[in-house]
Amino acid sequence: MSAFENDEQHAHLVESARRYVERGYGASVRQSSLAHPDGCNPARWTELAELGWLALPLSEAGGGLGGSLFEVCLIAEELGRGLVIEPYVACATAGALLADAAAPWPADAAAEGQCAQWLPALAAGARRIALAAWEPGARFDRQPCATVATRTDGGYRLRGRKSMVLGAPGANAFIIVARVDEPGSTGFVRVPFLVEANAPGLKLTPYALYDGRHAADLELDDVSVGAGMRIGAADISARIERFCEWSTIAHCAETVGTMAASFGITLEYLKTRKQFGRTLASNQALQHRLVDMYVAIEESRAITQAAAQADTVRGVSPAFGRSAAAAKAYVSQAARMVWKECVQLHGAIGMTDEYVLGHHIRRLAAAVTLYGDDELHLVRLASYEDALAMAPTERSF
Amino acid sequence: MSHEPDLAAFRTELRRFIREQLPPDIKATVRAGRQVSLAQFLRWHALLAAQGWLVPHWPREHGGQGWSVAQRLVFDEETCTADCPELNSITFDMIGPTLIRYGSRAQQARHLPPIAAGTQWWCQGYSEPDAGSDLASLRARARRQGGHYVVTGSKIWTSYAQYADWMFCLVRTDGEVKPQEGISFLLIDMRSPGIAVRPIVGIHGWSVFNEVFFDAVQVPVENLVGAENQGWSIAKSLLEFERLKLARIGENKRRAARAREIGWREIENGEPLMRRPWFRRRYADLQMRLIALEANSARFIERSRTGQPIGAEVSMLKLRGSQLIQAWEDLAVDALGPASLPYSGAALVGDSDLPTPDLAPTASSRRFLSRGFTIAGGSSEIQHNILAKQVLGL
Ligand SMILES: Cc1cc2nc3c(=O)[nH]c(=O)nc-3n(C[C@H](O)[C@H](O)[C@H](O)COP(=O)(O)OP(=O)(O)OC[C@H]3O[C@@H](n4cnc5c(N)ncnc54)[C@H](O)[C@@H]3O)c2cc1C
Repeated sequence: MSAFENDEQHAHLVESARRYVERGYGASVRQSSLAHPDGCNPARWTELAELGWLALPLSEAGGGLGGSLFEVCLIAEELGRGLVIEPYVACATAGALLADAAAPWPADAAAEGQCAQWLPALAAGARRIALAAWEPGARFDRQPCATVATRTDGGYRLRGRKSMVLGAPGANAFIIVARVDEPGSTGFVRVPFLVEANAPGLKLTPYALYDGRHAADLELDDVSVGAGMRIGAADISARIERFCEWSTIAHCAETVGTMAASFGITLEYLKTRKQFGRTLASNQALQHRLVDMYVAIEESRAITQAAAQADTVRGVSPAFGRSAAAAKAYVSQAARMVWKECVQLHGAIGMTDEYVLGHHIRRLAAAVTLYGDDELHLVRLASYEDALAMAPTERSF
Repeated sequence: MSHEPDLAAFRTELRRFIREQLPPDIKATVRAGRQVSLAQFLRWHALLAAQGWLVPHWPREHGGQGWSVAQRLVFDEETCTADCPELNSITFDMIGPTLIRYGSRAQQARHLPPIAAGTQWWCQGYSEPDAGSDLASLRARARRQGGHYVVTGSKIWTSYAQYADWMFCLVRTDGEVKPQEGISFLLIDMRSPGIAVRPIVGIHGWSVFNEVFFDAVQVPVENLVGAENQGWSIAKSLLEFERLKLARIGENKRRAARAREIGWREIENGEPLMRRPWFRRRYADLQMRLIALEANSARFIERSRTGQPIGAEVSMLKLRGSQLIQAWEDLAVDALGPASLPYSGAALVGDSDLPTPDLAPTASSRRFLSRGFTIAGGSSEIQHNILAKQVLGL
């Protein structure tokens, strides 16, 4: 299943990602991405494609490299370390959902054509898609889904709103999760639709986040899509859930990279900055705080990688969901602690935008909130714990 | 509390004054969490000065009202919770009282009236790139040349230097003695030739900080406060003026009110956050800490009222008050959640004309700004050191 069979190959992947960030993503390159109105410089996106990282998470059946979530996390951590602005996590995991659904998906020739057309373009970086799974007022809870798809003659009509869609500005299409009243099933089912960015009735409100990334709110005012744009098979709801976990966990990995970089800067600073005739790092009180940060970052990486390795091919097993919820809760808490400590231990210079740390700080603070903060994920974790207590043997969720 | 004025009646009078006098645009700007412009500050100063309330804690002979600390704290609390701008304590609490205590008659006559009228803005030039917590290692030089000091060097983190008419500045006048013994306290006109001010943009998006460069700036010797090389002890006692205020009860209550407003406005799962267990608990937790801070601070106020020394243990008020402000700002951001993420520089400045502004656009910036409370004015670590050494005797 995995494109990279052993540790050596993983090390190689990390090495190439680190090299890219160090050599290819310096301050001026980053500045140009920050200044780009979509927060995604097409030249950089092409580079990510050429390195194979956009094909990596696409299933082999979907024409990709069939890389695992774990491997996506290895890349994401390095991109986070280098403060890459381009929405790798958001768009690569959206592609992974599309590709995963591809094998059983095309119900008709038209859809098959779509699939054949989109996936190679995603892998090549020629097109970009974003996952619109979250709705306004739901704080990254994935369950509420007020967006409705109503059947029409040739397909569906979509109505509703999606919010904080990372990577949406400049994307060519969106995977929109909508509820469908399925004949024969009780209640509605959540189904993803591939909706092109220029579809009539689709309104995009783009904005920048305080960490320099870009996102958008989407409004669907009777957007018509062909039947072939409905993605996926019977178990699609679980698949959506799985790729929501993918994006959440890959986001954790990216955050680990940014935490590690902030920590490195802070450690260096404290070793060189002198007050009262000695380095700040020689104060035991500060040493202990550096150690606490170090341990929190190590645990963050461990819990993130463990969650990535708990990924199951179909849907979200309780074990996977539980470790994903724990990982995001943990990483949110760690990131919050790390950014505040890095500012405090630097003193006033840690509050400035012109010093390199400032960008890390904003990124970490936003990362706490993105994809749900610890409040949300602890509640999710607790509900997994409830279920474990009720049924000692594995049950499905 | 027999000599205290009737604080309840005073509170009522204050509320009425604010209701009638606080200009709506200033109120809206403060409520929205935007940066208050210099022009807005000056208008508010004029209104307070006309009432005699701009420097009420100063002695009467210098234009004050001789208010007690308790009365002054009621004033802070009421103005904060009614969306009045935070008055620049560097001007009104630091340099004013310092000049009253150490200034020459000429310095008092020149500066106290415009400060009391609210027309003269001061900044504090202490910190330097290499002299932060270790302030005594400062290096900006002042050399005596005839009737002037010639000042060369730089200051950094100077808050609101861009608004300031004057700076009070610590400079090195003797490099041969112990660091603390070669420092002098100078008043410098910010319009003097040779001064350059460079704004520094913060992670919050505002430029509050500045770097100030002095290239052979001539400062008349009559702008020396106290004796040459006595600047350190003046600076140290100056810090004491502020001590009781440093619990920042008013500023905490300002933020508590904002958190409460967000709590009632934001809806989660069909109910206001104020009804959601996680938010209720965190909100109550912070209120608990505020109640403790207030109770603790009341003990120090009572000591000061009865003329007892307040002692180094007053550091605990600064320590706790600053941490609590940050906790309120964190709660606001967490409560807004995804709504706190979008950023627009334009939303941070300029007048807001909405009576009930959206609090989201400035929440993350205000939260970043609040990190300064545990760094400036003696960091939390330095407060810990003071408590450990001077109070616990370690
Ligand atoms: C919002 C804000 C406004 C400011 N406004 C002004 C102003 O108007 N005028 C002005 O002159 N200055 C101003 N300052 C500067 C302020 O006085 C300094 O930031 C402060 O003195 C700390 O110095 P530093 O930033 O250089 O940090 P450093 O002294 O380098 O300290 C870095 C870190 O090390 C810790 N540390 C230092 N020494 C020790 C020790 N011995 N033991 C344990 N920990 C230690 C500090 O607590 C801090 O966490 C402002 C600062 C801020 C944040």
